[in-house]
Amino acid sequence: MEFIKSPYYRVGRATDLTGRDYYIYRALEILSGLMAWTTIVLIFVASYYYPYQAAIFIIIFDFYWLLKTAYLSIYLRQSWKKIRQSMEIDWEERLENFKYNHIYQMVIFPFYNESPEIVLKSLEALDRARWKNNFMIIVLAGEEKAKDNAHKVFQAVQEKYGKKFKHIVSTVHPASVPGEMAGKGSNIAYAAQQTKIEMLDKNNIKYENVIVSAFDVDTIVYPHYFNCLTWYFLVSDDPYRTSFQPVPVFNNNIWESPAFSRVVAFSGTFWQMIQQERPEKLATFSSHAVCFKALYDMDYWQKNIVSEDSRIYWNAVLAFNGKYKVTPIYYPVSMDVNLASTFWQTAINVYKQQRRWAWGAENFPYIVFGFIKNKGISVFKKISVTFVLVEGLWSWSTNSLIIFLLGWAPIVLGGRKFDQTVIAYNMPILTKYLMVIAMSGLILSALIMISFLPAKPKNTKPWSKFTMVIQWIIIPITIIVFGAIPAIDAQTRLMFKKYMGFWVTPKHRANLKKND
Amino acid sequence: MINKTFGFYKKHHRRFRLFLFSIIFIIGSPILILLARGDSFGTGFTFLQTGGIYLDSIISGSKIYLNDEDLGGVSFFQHSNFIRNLKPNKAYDLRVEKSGYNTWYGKLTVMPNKVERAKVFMLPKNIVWDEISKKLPSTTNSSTTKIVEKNNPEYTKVFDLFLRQNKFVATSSTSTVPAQKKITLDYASSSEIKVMWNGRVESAPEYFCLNEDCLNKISVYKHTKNIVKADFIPNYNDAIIFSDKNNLYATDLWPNSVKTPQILYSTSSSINFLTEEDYVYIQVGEYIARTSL
Repeated sequence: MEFIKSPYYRVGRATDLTGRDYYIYRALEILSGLMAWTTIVLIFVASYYYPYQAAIFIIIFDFYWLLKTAYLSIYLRQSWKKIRQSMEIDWEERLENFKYNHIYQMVIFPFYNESPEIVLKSLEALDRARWKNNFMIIVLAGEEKAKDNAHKVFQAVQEKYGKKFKHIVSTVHPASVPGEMAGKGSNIAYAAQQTKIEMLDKNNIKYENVIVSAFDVDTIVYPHYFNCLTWYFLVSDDPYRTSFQPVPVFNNNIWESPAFSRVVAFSGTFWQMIQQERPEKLATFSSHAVCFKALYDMDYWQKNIVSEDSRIYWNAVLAFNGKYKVTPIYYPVSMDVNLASTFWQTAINVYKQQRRWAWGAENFPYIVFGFIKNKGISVFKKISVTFVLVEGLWSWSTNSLIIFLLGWAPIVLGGRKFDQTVIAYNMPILTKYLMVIAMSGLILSALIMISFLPAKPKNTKPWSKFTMVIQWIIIPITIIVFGAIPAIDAQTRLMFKKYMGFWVTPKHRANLKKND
Repeated sequence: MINKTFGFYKKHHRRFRLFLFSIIFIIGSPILILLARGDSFGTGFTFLQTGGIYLDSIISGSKIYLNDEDLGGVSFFQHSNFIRNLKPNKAYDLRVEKSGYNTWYGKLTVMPNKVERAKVFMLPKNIVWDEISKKLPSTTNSSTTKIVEKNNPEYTKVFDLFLRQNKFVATSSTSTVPAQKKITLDYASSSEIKVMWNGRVESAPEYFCLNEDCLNKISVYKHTKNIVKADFIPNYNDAIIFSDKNNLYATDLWPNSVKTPQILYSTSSSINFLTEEDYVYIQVGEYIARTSL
């Protein structure tokens, strides 16, 4: 039986299963949290009973982290170079050698209670994009739970863009559908299904000719995005078994956001840029694109999970027996930096967003369980993917804690005998030097960030560009508060079966009305 | 096509890079561990396990000498110094100097992979004593033109304290740190000061320990004259003041410092002292003065 038709294909959590399957899946759900807590507890226990060995581990770990930082910064730099190169290419000209007049761009904008202004801003960018509007299908995916707002959005879009875009589909995802989780996944899956019926089938548009961009409602495309995407699609050796991943740059409202929010947002962008350079480790994230045929074949996005953006890739890997890939597109799409009306609310929202992203840990049991059940995937692929995932989950929740907080544990807990050893004196000095060298990589981060900055609004302070550089010194704090801690939070919830629901990141742009 | 455009997916390049970083990690890790342990290359391809000396509480601007070799000065922000890579099983003479301060001397034996810690105790050469006058400054009553003199209440208070303490000293020759009641000074043998720890030996302050051996009782200093009185310096729990008949001295309790007590006050008459809150008070006849160390 094809895996796609098996009951395991759409498993959302252990409670969807019974018997032995339930216990296997639960064990996999527990694993990430267990690894994180075991690491933390072991460091304390070892620091007390075996401080000498703990100190050696911390020194080696710091060295590993320094090398990892250097190693990844090479990828970051390469990725940056390619993005800059890509931004300078005239993609329309590139497409001249191809036949592409049959290609449709379907763009899905899911929203909940976001204001019409946010949606209109995104459509304004679509209108500016170098793609024929007649070959663009805009899907406005609202929620029944906020149907009044949905209708306001539909009306505002129709008024402003009804004549400009030939194909605008408005859908309202029904509330409380059994077996579904309210969230982006169920909404866009419903929207894609409805668009197929109402638009593609009625107009005899072939699924193979439609590229679907699943965006966040605040996603702003750069002018050549669709040309660039189409070029990648056309040159792909297997376009119906490929997802296309642009670089998500969180910079729409960057001048208005506080430093910690900017640093966290750009850390996410940088991570994605690094992953772009390592396609074997790349999964879809946030705004991504896929051919409608592939989407149809894999039965759209999964509706009973939170992290639909990455799950769609893992669904495809399992559905097509591992014969599915993500092609990195070195072309950015812009999204909002997390921002609320107050500093503390912004901090809370950033934390919740990071925790939701870290809840991507729910993919781990799904993938490994799928690997157990799907015999069509090679053992090598199964092992390598599992290793990458385990390492990723463990490093997200523990590495920064080990580096910046737990490194002192042997000195604090080691006792007098350890305090008198040379290693107890040398360890803080050595780790300090290793960290200073590692932190010098932040200069590269600052430079890259500057290159992604949009034009400075008139009302910003004169020194605000300088703060964009200096802000990177807070990374040891953000990496713990908005990195390790939300990851531990999410993994612990999964460990104890406290399953998370979808949390919609509130969109707030202080300058929206002024700019309008 | 994609490869031609951007040079993507050069897997062998990435593998080589990963291999290179792995090699750096494999080679670098043991070197770092050796560095951290304080190991260095000895003769004949052997490792020499070195030791170190850690000097704490150094006054900014001091100069450190190790076996008369100038190790340089201590910066404004620095209050400690770690001297590493010292050959083990060897005694080192240390000297810390600063102009206007008494020089601190230490003699420390360094053991393999161990750090000997010492606290540098240096006081200014010229201690400023503020006299507490018996009478308050004179005031004139303008209507009668008579000079009115008043007793200084602070003098009276301190004088009374000395009276009460003299009674106490007559019956006792111990003193305790107010903050840590478990530490007691014993100078009953008249010329030797001992310090005792009345708690569990494992939790004794560091100066009760030499290398890994900690004791409940250590001898701090043997004086050439009879010790009249000894007490802890206010706000210190590892330094004391003591007096013989004519002099008042200060010294630290650390076993690895060379005890050359610093003279705080000298007189040909009998001297008495007491500590109260942040101050050290002296009494020579009717003269009373105080200082803060």
